[in-house]
Amino acid sequence: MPTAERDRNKTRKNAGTGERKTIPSLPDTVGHFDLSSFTLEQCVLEARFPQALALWDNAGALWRAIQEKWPDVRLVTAEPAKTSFQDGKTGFVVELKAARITVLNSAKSMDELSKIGRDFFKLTALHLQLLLYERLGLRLIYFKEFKDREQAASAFHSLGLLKVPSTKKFEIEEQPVNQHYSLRWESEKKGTLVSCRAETRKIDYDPPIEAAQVFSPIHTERSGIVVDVDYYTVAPVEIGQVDMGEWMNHALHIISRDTQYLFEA
Amino acid sequence: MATNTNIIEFVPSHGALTRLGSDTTIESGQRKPPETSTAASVFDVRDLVFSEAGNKVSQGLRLSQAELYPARHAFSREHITALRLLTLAIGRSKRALDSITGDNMLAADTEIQKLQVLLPELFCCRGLGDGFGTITNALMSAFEVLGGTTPDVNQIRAMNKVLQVLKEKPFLSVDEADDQVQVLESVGLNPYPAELVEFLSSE
Repeated sequence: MPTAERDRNKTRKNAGTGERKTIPSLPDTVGHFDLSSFTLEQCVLEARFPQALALWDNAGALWRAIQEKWPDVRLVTAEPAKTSFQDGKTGFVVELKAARITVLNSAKSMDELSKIGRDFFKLTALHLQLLLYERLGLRLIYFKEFKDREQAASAFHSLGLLKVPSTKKFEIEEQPVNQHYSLRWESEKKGTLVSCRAETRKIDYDPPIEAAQVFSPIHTERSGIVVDVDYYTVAPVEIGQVDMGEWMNHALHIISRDTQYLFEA
Repeated sequence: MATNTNIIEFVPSHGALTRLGSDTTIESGQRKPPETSTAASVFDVRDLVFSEAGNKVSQGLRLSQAELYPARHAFSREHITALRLLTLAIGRSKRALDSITGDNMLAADTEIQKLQVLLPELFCCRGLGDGFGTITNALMSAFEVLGGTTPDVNQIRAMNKVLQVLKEKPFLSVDEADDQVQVLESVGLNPYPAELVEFLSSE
């Protein structure tokens, strides 16, 4: 028998008699769930373009036009390379090379966002004199809360997305937690990054003394599963080809249809 | 107090490696931090190769309408109607050109008449953008001024070209649309409404 094979057999034998033992898998106490049971935490609609130096000339005119459409938006930052406004949980940003709308906690419905996106990006293209979009992106981040870290891990495990070793690894008895699964599809023209992870969020917030009468301290921990989908274009598109509201509706349709595979195991 | 949830704090300590700058940016400062992964001091040649290839490809590639808007159920009524009518109109102008090549002027005239009757419905889709309305209106005016005469081969070719531009870029700006109006003008078509010309020349 060759030496290498002898060594391998020896190793297997040692492993069998020594450390190797099966540890109990995570209890599969979580029933079936799918994307409809998640909440949409964050939705970002973004367009990137070649450096738009016209931002330095036309930022005021652009935001004035935006304010005429949505009078409630208020200034957040105004710097040479980045300007941003906000309306409640909806943020608008225009930078030298990108513009985007971010909606938190479904503050706006998708229909509303589609309409806002259409007008916002049309105004941006007009005032920044854009000819081309280098990249369009729609990113959706969903969250589903579970009781604790172990239950989140168990729920993630039940999706069957990852093959988890059933034996003790790295000298740790416990099953893996905070698992992370990520796949990217990318062609010369379009791409999608799907990321699914179990995570624990810890918030420790103590308000400054001057605000302590108004705000209470927050010390909390939330565990759950995050589904993060980024659908984007790779090849550039001409401005005249794009209506961002329309594109968003298509992207949303594709994401909703094809993300379901995560829950089909 | 910021209303934004800062998800930096929520990122678990097992972040997968992602190419920086390739994802749609989430709220400022919330990008998945690479510091939570064990730093790999690897000079990733593949990234360079990918970037070079990607740039080369990107320069020549453009997304078509079908690739940009792939979901049939997600179309707005105006958009899908416009695409359907434009496909029909392009086909008819193409058949008219073929008929002229085959010396069949009657068939060419029939195709052009069929094209003309599509324009009012196409004009109803002008909500897609001012550029769209400008071009459709220009085509309608051109036909009106022709007064029933069949356009010549160059004029039909120009119409075909303009319709193809409109199908590929239905959301074009007024400036881009003006360029197309000039294409029509350059072959002897009059793309301005007769009333407008009359009004402007009345002074």
